[in-house]
Amino acid sequence: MKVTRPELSWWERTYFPAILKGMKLTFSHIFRKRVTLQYPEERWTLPPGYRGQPVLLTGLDGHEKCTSCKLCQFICPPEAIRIVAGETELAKEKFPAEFDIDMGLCIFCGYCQEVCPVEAIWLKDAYELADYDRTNLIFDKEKLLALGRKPPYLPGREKPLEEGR
Amino acid sequence: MPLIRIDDQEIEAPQGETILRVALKHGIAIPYYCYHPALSIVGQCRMCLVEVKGAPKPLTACSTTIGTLPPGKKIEGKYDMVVSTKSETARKAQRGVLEFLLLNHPLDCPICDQAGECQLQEYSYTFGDPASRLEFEKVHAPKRVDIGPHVVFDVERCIKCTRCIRFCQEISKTGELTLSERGVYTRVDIFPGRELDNPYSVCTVDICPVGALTSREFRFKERVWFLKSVNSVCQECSRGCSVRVDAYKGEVLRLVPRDNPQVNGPWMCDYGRLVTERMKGLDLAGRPLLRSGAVWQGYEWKEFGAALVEKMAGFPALKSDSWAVVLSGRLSLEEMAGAQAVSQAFFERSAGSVPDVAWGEDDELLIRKERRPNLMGARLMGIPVGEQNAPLSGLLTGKKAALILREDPVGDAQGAEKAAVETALASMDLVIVADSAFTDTARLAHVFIPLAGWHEMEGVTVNFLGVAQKTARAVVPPRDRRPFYEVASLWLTAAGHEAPEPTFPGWHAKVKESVPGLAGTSIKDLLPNGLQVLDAPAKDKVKKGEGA
Repeated sequence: MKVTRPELSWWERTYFPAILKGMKLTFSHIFRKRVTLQYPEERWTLPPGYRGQPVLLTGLDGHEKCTSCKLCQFICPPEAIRIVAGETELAKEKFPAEFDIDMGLCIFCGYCQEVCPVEAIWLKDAYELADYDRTNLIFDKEKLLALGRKPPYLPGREKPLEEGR
Repeated sequence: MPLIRIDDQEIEAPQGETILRVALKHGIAIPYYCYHPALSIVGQCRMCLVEVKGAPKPLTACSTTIGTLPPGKKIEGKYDMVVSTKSETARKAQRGVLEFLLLNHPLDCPICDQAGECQLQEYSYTFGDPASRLEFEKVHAPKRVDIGPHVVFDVERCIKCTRCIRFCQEISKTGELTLSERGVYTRVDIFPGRELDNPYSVCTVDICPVGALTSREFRFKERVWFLKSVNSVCQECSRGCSVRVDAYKGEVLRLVPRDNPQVNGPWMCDYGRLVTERMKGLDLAGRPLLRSGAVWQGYEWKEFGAALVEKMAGFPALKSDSWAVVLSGRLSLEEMAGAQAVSQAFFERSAGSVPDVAWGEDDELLIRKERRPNLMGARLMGIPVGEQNAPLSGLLTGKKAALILREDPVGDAQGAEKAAVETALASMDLVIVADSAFTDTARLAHVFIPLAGWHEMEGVTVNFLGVAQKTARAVVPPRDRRPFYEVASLWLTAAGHEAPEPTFPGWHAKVKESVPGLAGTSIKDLLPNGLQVLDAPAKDKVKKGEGA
């Protein structure tokens, strides 16, 4: 493709007009409202439906709601979820003996929450997940359940223990 | 022959054949649950209802036979029967039957092992209504009923197709199951005081179209859509059933029979399936090892060939007569060819004999008492097969050196025989053991060669009927475990001998030279159901079945 460039006059070729134009915009910001947040002292209010740390929810019987159907493991694009199923004496028969989410891999897409048939996994608003060691980023079942029992809770169900479906 | 029309297709069908069989043969999809090609016809599930012109009501395609009309009464002047599988009446019937089947179905697909290969799921998507019209509580029934050592029964999920009942009556001929109660409470039940414990009990799990019967060993192991499947051959007896091996993340999780009318029909025995459980206990081989005194030293493969040749050179006094070469019926044809080449090159003799390990009894269906899959292959390769259950100590005693492939004479023997084998091996100058597990025999060896397991390699085995079938690689083995034919190539080239390429096709070409039945065939001819390389005795042919 042929690009036709505008013919610049002598005055324009000094670049002074362009610099002045840029400076005008820059200095105009001095008189506008500040947008910088003094993180971590100041915090941003998260919009509803923000997708942060995935957590596991606990049922009214005190056990995890997850039945280890592995749909989240199947749908997870970066394959961050690893589940080992086991058999339990509870009525639900099947439970996750192990349930790991590698937060180093998680891309917070929320597909796991979307496919879960029993509302056992939920992406809550926690976003400060950095660590110095990658092995600490693999969250096991106990950790995910403990995170799920802390507020805030699933919208519309504001309580730590959820009724299973 | 009667001329019939199914939908738009004109078919000449044999008199007395059922509509369903004719339709399936011509690629017309009619949904069905209770029909199974190897079982009797009962018309139990009603899923195959089709509209037959002139009949007052929809008829079950599985149990309606095709007849001939007298010349003047043909439908539209030429047809003996006109069947519609997609008309409004047929669709309505199919939808209605499915609604009944799903009425009290618990819909616990998320935890059901059958999900993903469930006929109820598939037909619900194709023929069913999206929602249930039931306004009341579903009728609940017991879940997790232990009806046998390998089978768990979920009464709620059952659709009462009675395939399992007919299997127990007609195929395993044990008759443990029956229907009990009436109406909505009808359930498949086990006779009091009995359990579903016949040698073929897990076949009921295979033919169950829903998740009512599940295998205890596979229960909750993995969802079926994660499994990687290959077609292979069961190695647990000389029948060599065609199987599909389902593996996930380097572990074989289940064996499912493949329909092979030449060998096993659609069935397979529980003992063969449970190889997955027995494999868990194996001390799987690591890397090539040489022992000096009590110290084992590990080697990399590229150094191992030279090390082995050097070790062999340390015993110039070992001549052909001082070697005992014990091959196994577990070796594939290619591995046997490798063993023959190695024997020729290093021991200056033909390969030794193959022990015929047998236990149990032949039964009428599949199980054979010879427990090595490739004995017929050994005979075809010209390797002598020993007397049935002949003690191996006779072969080993008095020899100065031994090469033992895929056999464990120490671990398999008992009492005096075990002691005799141990003494014989301990007095030898050089014992070379190659196996997929570090066995008791391997502990007495001076050289240990780790071999790939049957599920980790390609090879051809010939069963007692003379059908050659190919095993496939279900799991990629760790780098240090290889089929014996690869080891043979490595060993031969390290000593400066000619050897085929260390691959399956390379050695298979060599096998074809010595097995007349394989001459002029390609590997593709062995797929999927094997190739008859010997004339089989007619009485051992299996009843034909076309799979579920």
